[in-house]
Parts: sequence; structure tokens; C-alpha cells
Amino acid sequence: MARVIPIIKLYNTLIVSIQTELGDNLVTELKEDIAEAIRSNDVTGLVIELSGVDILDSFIARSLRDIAFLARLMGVETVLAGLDPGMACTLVEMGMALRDVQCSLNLESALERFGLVRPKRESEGDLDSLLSSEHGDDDLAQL
Amino acid sequence: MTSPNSERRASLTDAIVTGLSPWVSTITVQSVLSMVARRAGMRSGKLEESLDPKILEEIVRALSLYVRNSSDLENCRRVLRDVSERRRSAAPSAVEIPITCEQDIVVARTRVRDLARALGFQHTDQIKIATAVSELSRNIYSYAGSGVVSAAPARRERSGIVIRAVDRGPGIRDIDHVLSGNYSSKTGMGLGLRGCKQMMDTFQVVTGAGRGTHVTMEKFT
Repeated sequence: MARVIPIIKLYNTLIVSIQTELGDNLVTELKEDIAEAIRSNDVTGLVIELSGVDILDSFIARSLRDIAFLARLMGVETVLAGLDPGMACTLVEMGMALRDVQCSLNLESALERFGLVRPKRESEGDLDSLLSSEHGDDDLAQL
Repeated sequence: MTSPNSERRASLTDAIVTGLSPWVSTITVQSVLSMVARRAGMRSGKLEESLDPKILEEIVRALSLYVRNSSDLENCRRVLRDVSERRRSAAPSAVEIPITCEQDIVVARTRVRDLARALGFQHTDQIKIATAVSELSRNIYSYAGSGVVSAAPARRERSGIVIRAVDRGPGIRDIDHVLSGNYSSKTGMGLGLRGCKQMMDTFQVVTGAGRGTHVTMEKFT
């Protein structure tokens, strides 16, 4: 059966983006799929991207925490990314502190934690060299 | 999935614009409406489902700057009243979801959230309501096997939503302990019912061993 929630490997990181309504069975399936994906891929990080999730109730929150524990037991750090502000408020109000789980504002900052940074654009490189050459000119002028 | 309710909400402005078109231009009506909405403290700057009489008078007062003829202005007022009245009679109605399988949990929270949106709840409140419904539905499914979740517009002076979750399951033996926050079940984080209580404005449980569980909770816009 095709996976409903895709698990994608990007260099040293697994990316799971949840874009569907999370039923209980689906969460349990996801847990097993992630464990299997960690076993068969050489990764050090797991990013679970939640911007497409409708709600996080206590069961789903607990399952996410379980996934993070499970991943840690297999030597992989988990970051939750893209939590909706309304959902964050709800989690706090319900007292569902995901205390041991790292969170990031979005997918980009989550990936940065695992050393995957945005490559410099060519124009920026030019700007840098331009600045340094200007600086060099200044130095020359001082001489 | 777009609900008919959200479409209706989106077209309130359109209905007013069309109704007033003999006297005022579209742009004028739109700016008048958004100004009145902002002044009335509606955060999105958008009018609610129906116009209460005070808002209606505000709109007429703003229109009087553009509509000089008093009988034309009176016609505008009549159109606004008609639009408002038609909305009220077509107001979002109650939903009832039987809970018998795991998928019904998702159905319940989605449909109640649609109702909450139609009733004019803000985004964060919609999430809180949906989360509370999810907790109650899951409790029904995991402990009682089956039951019913229903939601309706609150019947009070304040507008809001009232949600009921009823089952004929084993009941909760020590409800005070569960609500105290020292309790933890194996399926959730032990926060389900207490979380609902925190997130809603009113919360009542009637339960006991062998008597089933009956939860009623309300939240106001």
C-alpha cells in the first residue's frame, strides 16, 4: 500500500511533511514507517513539518513525542517545524508541553539545525567580493 | 472541502453591495463596510454573519455622507434590514455526529470546526474548539465504544457554540481526580478532559460508574 504521508531523505535528514488530517490509525502507521525509514537510511536528523495539520489533540501530541523518543533511541534527533500559532496556543493552554522535543518556526530553520544551510546566491557572492575590493581600495587610499 | 457556511459568510459584503447598487457605488459600499467593521472592533475588518441593529445604524450613518436624499437613505436602510434578516433565517444550524469508528473522530472535529467558523469564531478559537471535540470524541470511541457528539449555536444573549458529547459507556469513576490534573491515562497525556475545561468558557460533566458520560461545554465568540 502506498504511504499516505511521504518520508523523504535529504542528505543526512529525513523530512516528513504532514499535509492531511491525522486519524489515529494514520499516526500509528506513521510511527512505524518512520522507525523503518530511520533503520534503512543513514541519517542523523528527522524533521516533522506540521504546517498542514488541522489540529494537534492530546493523542497526536503524545504520538509526536513518542516518535521523537523513538528516533532518539535510534540516534536521530527530531525537530518539529511549522506549528501554527493557534495550535501552539492550544497546546500551551491544554498543558501539552512538548518539553523534550525541539521545535523550529519553519522547515528552513529546522534544516539549518542539521547543517543544511541556504547556498549563497551568485549575486551575493559578487556583493561580498565587491565590498572587500572596496575595502581594499580604502586601504590603498590610506597608503 | 468548502462548506456552504463559509461561502455564505464570504458573500455578506457582496449581498449588501448588490442591494445598495441603485444608490451607491461598489467601492463606496466596500469602504463604508470595512470602516464600520474596523470601528466596531472586528479584528479581521470584516462583518460578521448577520448585522446587529447597532452596526446597521452605523452603516446607514456612514452612508448618509454619500446618499443625500432622505427617501433614498431610507431605502438603503430597508435593503440592509432585508439582507440581515435573510442571513439570520439562513443562520448555520446544529450538527450531530454519531461516533462509532475511529474515522468519526476526524469527521466530528471537522464538522464542528466548520460550524464554529460559520458562527464567526477566530482562527485560534476554531482550533481550540476542534481540539476539544477531538478529545471528547476519542474518549467516547476508546472508553464507551460509541456515542454522539453534537454542536449548535449557543442560545444565550452572547453568541457562541454549545457542544455536547453523550455516551452510555462505563462512566468515569472519579471525575474530580481526572479533572485535577494528577491523572494520566495510557492513550492520551491524561489531559483530555481537563484540557477541554481549560479551553472552553463553560464545562460540565455528568457521569458516574455505570451511568455513561454526558459532557456539555460552551465557548463564546
